Amino acid sequence: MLEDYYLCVMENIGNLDPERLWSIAATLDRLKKLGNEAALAREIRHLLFSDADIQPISKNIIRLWYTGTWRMKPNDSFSSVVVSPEAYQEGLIWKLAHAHPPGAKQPGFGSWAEQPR
Amino acid sequence: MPVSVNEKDYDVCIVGGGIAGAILAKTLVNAGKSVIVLEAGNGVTPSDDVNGADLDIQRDQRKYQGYLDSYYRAAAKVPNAPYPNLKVAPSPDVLDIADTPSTKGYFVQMGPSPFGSDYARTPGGTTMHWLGTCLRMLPNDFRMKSEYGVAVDWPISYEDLKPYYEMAEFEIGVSATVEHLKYPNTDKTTFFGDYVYPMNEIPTSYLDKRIQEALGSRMVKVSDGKGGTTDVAVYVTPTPQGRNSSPNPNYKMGPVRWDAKHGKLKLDRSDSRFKPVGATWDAYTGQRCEGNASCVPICPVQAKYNALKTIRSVARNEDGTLNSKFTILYRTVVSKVLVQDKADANGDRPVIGITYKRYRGDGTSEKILEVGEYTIKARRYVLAAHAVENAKILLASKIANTSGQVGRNLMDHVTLLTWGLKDEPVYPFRGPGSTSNIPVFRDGDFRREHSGFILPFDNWGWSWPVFSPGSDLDVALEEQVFGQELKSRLEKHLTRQVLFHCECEQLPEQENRVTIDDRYKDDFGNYRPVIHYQISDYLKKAFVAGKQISDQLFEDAGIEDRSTYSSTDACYFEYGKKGFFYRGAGHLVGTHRMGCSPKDSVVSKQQRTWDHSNLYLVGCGNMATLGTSNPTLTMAALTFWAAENILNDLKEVK
Repeated sequence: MLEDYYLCVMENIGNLDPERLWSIAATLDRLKKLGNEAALAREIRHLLFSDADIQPISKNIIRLWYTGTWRMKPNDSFSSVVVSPEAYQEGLIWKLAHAHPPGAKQPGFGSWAEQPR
Repeated sequence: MPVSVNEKDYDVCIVGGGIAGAILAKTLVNAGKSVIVLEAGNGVTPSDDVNGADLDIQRDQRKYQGYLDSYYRAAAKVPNAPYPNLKVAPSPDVLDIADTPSTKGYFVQMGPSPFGSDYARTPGGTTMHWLGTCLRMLPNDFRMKSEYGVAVDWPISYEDLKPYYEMAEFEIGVSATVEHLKYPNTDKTTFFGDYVYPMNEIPTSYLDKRIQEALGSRMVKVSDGKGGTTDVAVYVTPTPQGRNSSPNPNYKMGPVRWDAKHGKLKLDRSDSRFKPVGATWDAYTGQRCEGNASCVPICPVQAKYNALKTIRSVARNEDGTLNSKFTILYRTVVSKVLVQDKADANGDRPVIGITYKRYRGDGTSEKILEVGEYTIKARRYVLAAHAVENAKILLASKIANTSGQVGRNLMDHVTLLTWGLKDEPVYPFRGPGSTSNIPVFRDGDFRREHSGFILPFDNWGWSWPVFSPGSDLDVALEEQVFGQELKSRLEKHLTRQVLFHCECEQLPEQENRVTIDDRYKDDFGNYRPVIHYQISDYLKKAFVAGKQISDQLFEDAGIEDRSTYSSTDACYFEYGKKGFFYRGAGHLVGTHRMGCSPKDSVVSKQQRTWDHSNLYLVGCGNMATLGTSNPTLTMAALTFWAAENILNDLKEVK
């Protein structure tokens, strides 16, 4: 899984120097350890969502976690690819929905008739 | 390419290995007839020389797991996502729908409106990706002209078809509880009698129950068909489904037997309990629905019926040996039906053979590996290739068209989607796609003015209209929401999504049609369907009525309406002052309709072409009108009826 994610990022960051990503990660990691939530959020907005080169990658990494997909063209929702069947099945979004990835991790006969636990 | 003749002797040659072809083959073989099925898609066995059927269980399972893998890997999990799109026999894809005219994909769409549905050319046909809804048509659906002055009447009635519905429900394995079902203008004592379904009802979803409770007993206004309105009470009913649940111990029927003496098919009385049919690779897998919530496009455990199950059950005898009466040829694409040049003394021009081409490999490679072109002979011929494909083959062969109706009257359920956010979590994205519906608008005097429609509740959030949940994440990312805020926002949003849809009955119209054109052929040299299509005012009025009703129900049920219909959508239209987009329901019917006269129909009520005494057609193309039910169950019932007619017809051949 981690390997799927890592390879996907490395294959799709184009000419961007991966060192830039590692240094952002290190900065944010330091802030997180300091426990300053406000500063962390500010820096995430600044470092991950403001830079035109970094922003599409940030969004795609979040997509990887939540749906197991990577959008090849930033403005085209039909350019998404699923990184691997495992990445699809482990998408966080299904947990947030109190559901499961359709076609996998089936919860059993009649489970849908009840409120999820 | 030299044409070789398949010299083997068959009673019946069937074109197409979907549900119609499979049911027909099984019924005829069980009555002792020899049958060959020609299937365009590629089967399990890699060899080209397939006789019997694909019965290698490991290969069968591997192939199905391959479909599932394709489904996981598809970013847009549309109905055809798991199944290969063949160069040699392409399938339409809903992702190809575009502004008309358009040649994108398999269909050539001449418009003015795009046709909104697909089907699958693969072993098992479109039952591979159907939802499995198994509603019968209502009695008035068979007599639209005499009841409401629109469209045409069928040459047969509900009562005529009723015993064959029971056979179809046995073969498919339908789960429903008669006491819970309620339909408008329908007397249940005559509609069902003392019938029970093979299996108990599939539990309705938590979402269904929350909405049903919130709605209570609501009155809404509908057209009275005379320019005024009338009040009707809204109620909700569970949906019969072709997916396995628990066998009903009171069900005492099956299997279907041919009673040659009386010339009738009959569901035997049975003392043993109904046995749910599991996966084709393992009878113990899929004996009950497991809640995968992916019925369209693929049930991972095959708890949902697909026609591969019927093919397997006819291919193998109960003792495990191959059934010598049954042959299926995969990778076999039919191009033409050959008929006698000159009419005989009765004015009949019987079919003298069917021409097909075979290929090697999986049919998806750029380079097409053609094996050869052949003709085959049999005593009777049946086209079971799908409504659009049947019409295409008939048009290409220039046959069966004295009426000029071949390809015409193409119909679908033109579908209005309405979606919103409930005031409490109802936990969608779980269970079968839909487990309840409001049947109230399926029948009534308003059908003089606008389409009848069924209003199912959907269990999968907003996935159909806006590709949720991926699109919800995208919207949040656009707004640079991340971290805990992103999680709580998605949780709050995804657990409250509600979708209703109104499947509106399209009437038969001469200009909604499939044609062929020498300019448009596929890579194997066969015609691509050229489609002319438009949405009538009769349908548009139903959209206006459906949206008004949905608005009232949303208000009562505490659902905030979030439906938006973009004017850039290829299927957008305006009516009155309102804008909508429509979606297809995958219910393609009507392209070679049955009727009372060779002047205005392609087949007689026996499902035999008026023009060629040894050629039958089966499938949804025979349906004269669509009604408000998903057509597969009715088509399966008609196929049992066709099988009975063919068996009686073959009695004279000795």
